[in-house]
Amino acid sequence: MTTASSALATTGTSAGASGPGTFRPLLDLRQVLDTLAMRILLIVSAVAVLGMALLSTTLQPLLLEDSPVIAYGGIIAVGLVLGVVLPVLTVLTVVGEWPGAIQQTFLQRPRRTGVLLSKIVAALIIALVVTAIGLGAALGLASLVGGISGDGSTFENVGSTLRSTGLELLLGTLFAAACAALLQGTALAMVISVVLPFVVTVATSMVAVLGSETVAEVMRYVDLTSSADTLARGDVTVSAIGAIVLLILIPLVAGGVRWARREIG
Amino acid sequence: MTTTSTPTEARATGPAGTRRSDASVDLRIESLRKTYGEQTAVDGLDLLCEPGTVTGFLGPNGAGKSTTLRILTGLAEADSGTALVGGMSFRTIPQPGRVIGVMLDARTLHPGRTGLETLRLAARTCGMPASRADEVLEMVGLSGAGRKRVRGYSYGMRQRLGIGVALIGDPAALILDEPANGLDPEGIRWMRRLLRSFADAGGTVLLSSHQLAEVQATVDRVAMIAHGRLVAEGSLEDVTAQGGTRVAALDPEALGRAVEASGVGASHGSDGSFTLALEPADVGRLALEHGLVLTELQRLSDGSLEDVFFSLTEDGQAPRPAPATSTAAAPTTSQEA
Repeated sequence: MTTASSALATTGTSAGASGPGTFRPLLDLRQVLDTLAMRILLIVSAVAVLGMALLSTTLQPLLLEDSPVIAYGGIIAVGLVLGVVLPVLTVLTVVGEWPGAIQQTFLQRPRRTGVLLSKIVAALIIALVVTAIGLGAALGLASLVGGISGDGSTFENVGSTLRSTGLELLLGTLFAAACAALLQGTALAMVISVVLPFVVTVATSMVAVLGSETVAEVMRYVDLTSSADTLARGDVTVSAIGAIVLLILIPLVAGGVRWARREIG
Repeated sequence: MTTTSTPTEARATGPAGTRRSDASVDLRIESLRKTYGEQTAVDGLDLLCEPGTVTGFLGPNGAGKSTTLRILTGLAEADSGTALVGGMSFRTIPQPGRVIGVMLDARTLHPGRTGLETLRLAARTCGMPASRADEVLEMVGLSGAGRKRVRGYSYGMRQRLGIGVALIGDPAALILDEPANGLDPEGIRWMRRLLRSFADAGGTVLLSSHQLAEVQATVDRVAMIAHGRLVAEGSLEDVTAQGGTRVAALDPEALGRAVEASGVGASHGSDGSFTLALEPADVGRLALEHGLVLTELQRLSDGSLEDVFFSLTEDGQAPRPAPATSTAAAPTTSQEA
């Protein structure tokens, strides 16, 4: 045996050839999907999303007689459920290991920034799959229920609704990832990432209705829903970009710094 | 649990295609310092663990052991000084699991995963084949509990699993913090054999523990710290042979000055006495040199690590740094004094 840091580095390099380094989203995906908590949460999420898809389409023929099933209604309804489900799944994926089990991860993958990015990508993959299943179910059920009821289905405005809902869910997921990175605790990050966008959207609407356009314009700088709607229409406004910077980029960078520096154990 | 085995054979041959590097790995800490606000956790610590040895890292609660181990494994950053694994800082090692196995706190193993999946994930993380997980599961005596979730494990079983995670990458060095906690006598014997065979195969082991009798039965080198400073380091025989001598004098301040001048590792008791890493005869010579009237001169060690530990670490004030090699450093006093 010889003691040499160069030999050590070579060991790591050769090992790295058979197994990549720190950025390993598929490994993080397996890690998070293999826990009991995540499996339970995924089952509950699937029931909630598919239940809402079913409810929003089957109720339409009962409430609106002689009218076709409106497909984008199902998308909006499922989007509301996903707006809660995705942040919760994202927070659990990114910081589910904090504060205890993250020690094991950092002992095996000590380049922490790579681990954070890897976990965020894993969370985005989960969000993409769950969203695709939820929205796909909403569209499929709209077609199916329309056929069964005999009134048919209409797919008007589906494209624009998919764009705005998809963008809204993407920004919500990234906001949850930013909260998770910054707060490094599941409970608080979940609450903030679910509640804050909802409260801000409601407050912005109320302020606009009450007539203070100036305040409403300021509120749009922290309103991701408004930002998603604006960008989905193809408009790129300062407030739309500002909301993304303020609520996603800045917390994500600050969280990344804290993630890299925080003492473990 | 099934019959356990040692990793010697597995380390010698390694699973197919996964033979670890022949490079041996030393653990080197130099002038390490870490403070939290006003409190100094580690104060200029130097330590070297060489391949083929099991080093016991001892000290009372709050002595700085855990902080040192966290810095060495990249979980915390030092204010100054270096802590290197095979000449590299832990965070820069491309595949640390293939170089150094670490088990600091078995309670941090994810409770929602099975033991087998925990090991499979660890194996995959460090580029080992999945079969390595089954191999290690058997090695740590958990093959009967592999499909059970970790939350259902006893503390001892978690310790075994934690050691298994440390061994998964067939590393050249091990850092274990209190590995014997929760283990039954058979488990402790197994761990002792495991560490011994690991070191005999050329591995480097740094073992932190409060179980002094167990440490004495396992290690061949000892590093003892108190208040973040090294108070004794050397081979087990040297450290236990030196023990310590408690001394008090009519003039405690003059005694303090004499101790200061001697440069010997010492701790200061709240009653004005000192515990020195010297033989009583050498303490007597020191007193004679400085014209001191002694009121107490007592050898504290009967050769056990426990006696040495308490003699060097139990008092309230920070001990002064010991010479770099061991407490056995002879006084500079004249033999004829």
